[in-house]
Amino acid sequence: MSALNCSSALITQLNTTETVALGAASQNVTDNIVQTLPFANGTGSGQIDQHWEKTSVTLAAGATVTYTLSALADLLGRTIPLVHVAALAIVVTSRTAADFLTVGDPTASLAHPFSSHLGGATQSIKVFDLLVLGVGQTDGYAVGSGATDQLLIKNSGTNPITFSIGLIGRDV
Amino acid sequence: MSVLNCAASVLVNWNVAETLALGFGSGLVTDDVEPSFNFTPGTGAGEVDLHWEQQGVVIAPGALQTYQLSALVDSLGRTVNFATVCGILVAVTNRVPGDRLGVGHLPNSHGGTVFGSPVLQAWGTPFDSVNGGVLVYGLFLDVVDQSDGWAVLAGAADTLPVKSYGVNSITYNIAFIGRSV
Repeated sequence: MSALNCSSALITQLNTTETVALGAASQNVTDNIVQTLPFANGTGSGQIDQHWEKTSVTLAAGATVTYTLSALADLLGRTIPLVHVAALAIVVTSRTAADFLTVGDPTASLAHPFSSHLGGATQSIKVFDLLVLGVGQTDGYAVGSGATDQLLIKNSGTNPITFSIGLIGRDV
Repeated sequence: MSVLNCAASVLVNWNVAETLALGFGSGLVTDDVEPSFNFTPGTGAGEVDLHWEQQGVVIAPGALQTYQLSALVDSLGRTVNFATVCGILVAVTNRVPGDRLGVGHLPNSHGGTVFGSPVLQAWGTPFDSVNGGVLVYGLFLDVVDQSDGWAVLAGAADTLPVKSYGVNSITYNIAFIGRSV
């Protein structure tokens, strides 16, 4: 699959508002933390030439899905060969309280797990509602085709979980 | 520290645009996803009564910073005692390519950087293990809504380490939202 003519912008905002009381008065104080990661088209620093998304994935309790990042198939039937992941987002759109996804391979069930965003091949992250990882510059989470390219997601809850997943990156 | 009268919101704008060519023509296709979470004041489902932020943290190469979530001190000198964390944000604002943070209990040796003894009272619930963690180059955001959250156990499992796996200083912002129960 040749490079895609694509670009992206990832903006995250965490806002907190606190009503601070002083004597008989009070005041709302708002703190905004905004992080913007823009990605122009290309394979250089801060650039991407691949993207892939899958929406409304539903996993039954205990079920798993494995995404081979070196050869994802997109909605147009194209093969997306990620070599570096510049950003990853997992958004849970439907779940029952206490249920969560496990993203990673803690039981070493895969032949070649993707784990360059983690500290080891058997580490994982719990995702109840939202996970976003962004890289930027010349860096990226490396994907090794046939070696470290499988991303495992498991429903660690007792009810179905529905989620969407998106990845952007480069084919070099 | 008594509860705070606070609310929080998280908004993500994930925007991908691709120019698709078809024959002699082309069109721009945009995929825009904006998940958002709003936490109202309180200690129930979807609520928060605590928040803590630190902006402009500069960590030297190979250094370790720890955050004791059961007893953080905010910019007003107040002690913020998380019992449940609903959101974590680590946003790197300045770094040199190749440099990254380790958030959580990553190996003591990674990419040539060696740390000392493991952090005591490790808090590892977001990573499914006290030995888990994530490498952060630019951004790490993890949010828990509804009645859920990551438990913080004061004096037992309440300390989150942030390590510098880099050869230059890294500057970042860090924030937590959650509940006192």
